[in-house]
Amino acid sequence: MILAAWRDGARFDGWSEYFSFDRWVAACATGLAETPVDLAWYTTRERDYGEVLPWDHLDSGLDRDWLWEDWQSAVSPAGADEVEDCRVTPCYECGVCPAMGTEIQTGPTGERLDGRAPASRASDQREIAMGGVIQNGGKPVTTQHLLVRYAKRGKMRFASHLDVARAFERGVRRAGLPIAYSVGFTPHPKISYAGGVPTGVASEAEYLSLTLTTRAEADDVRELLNAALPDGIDVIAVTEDSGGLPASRLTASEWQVALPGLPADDVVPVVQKFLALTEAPVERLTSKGMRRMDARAAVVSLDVIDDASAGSALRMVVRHVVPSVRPDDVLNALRDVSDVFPTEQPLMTRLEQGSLGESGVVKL
Amino acid sequence: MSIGGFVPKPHTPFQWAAQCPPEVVDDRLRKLGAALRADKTYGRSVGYRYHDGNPSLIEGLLSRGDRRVGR
Repeated sequence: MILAAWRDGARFDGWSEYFSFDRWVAACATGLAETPVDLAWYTTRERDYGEVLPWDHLDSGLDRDWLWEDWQSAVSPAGADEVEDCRVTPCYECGVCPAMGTEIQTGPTGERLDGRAPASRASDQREIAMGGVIQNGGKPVTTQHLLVRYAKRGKMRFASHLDVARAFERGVRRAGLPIAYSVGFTPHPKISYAGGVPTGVASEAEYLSLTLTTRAEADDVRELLNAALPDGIDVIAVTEDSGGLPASRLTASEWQVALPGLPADDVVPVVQKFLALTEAPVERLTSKGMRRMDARAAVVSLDVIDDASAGSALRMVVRHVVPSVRPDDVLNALRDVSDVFPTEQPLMTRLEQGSLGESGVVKL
Repeated sequence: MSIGGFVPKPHTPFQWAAQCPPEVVDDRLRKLGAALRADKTYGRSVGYRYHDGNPSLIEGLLSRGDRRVGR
């Protein structure tokens, strides 16, 4: 609906000279045409207690029933009830009045203040501010570690690592998993990620680990997460595993690079030429500036897959080195020895990730 | 004096409330402005600023919208 308004030219709507009410009414008509609701349903309609509100899954620290009681007393047929003066009755620590110079007479625990500062229940106050995630009085709780293998498929390959991390934080909350939170001033859910694929690259083998405060069945966790995550970020397997994700567990990856329309006969000689090199220096601009690496040294194996009419594909096993050598670096090294490869970026997929074994990458 | 129609917001006791229709808000704002101007003692000395009902209604739509509004 917002998109419909924007397409119709809505810009700077906070300024009255640009605001068009008719445009918004029209955007509601087109944007909500497929739905049973309209502008009035969202605005001038009173809701009842039982309705699930769109923000009910977010915990602002205020109790829903307490809000409802306050609302009911405001619309009481007998006239609005006067709410108790919270300067005198125990303070709710809502945080509004300290900035207004209010003299709080009775602290949160019910004690008389007589001008002293309230003996704030500091941890409770933080718990309110953090939406109730302070666990075990601020001491770490750990019951179970789960290793999650997931895929980035389809359009989701354009999601960056930060996008994926945020999707998982939301997914974990929506799935209602008993996730552990870090202790400290700003608690964060304990999810740790192994290095992700570059934006634009798909993967069938990404890993992260979750720390839970109560035990859960690994298969249940997989199903709950898949129901809560967007299509294309798909959990493949969940296993109980307390080994964490140190770099020593993930030392190599297997990649596939699709080369549609390029016959295997054209690609094989280029690959042979590359494999015969003793080194293949390439450069890539990273966040730390221009980095130079040896693409040949990181490549353990490089094969050409013949896909007949569809063209061909490269299948490669690449060691995890620093600075990292990615499949696009290898492709650039191949471009240095031949001009058969198109300049546009082909579809790349991480197929496997783990330790390096005799016959390729050993799954974690 | 600065005044506008009330816009109910999530996570407050008014999250269940019906927002006042813009016609009613505008009518009340007009009446208030007229009453202020009618009294010569206040008319000159009190500044009167107000927010129209229509933009407030859209603000209310965006405040309490769900994913269908965001789409």
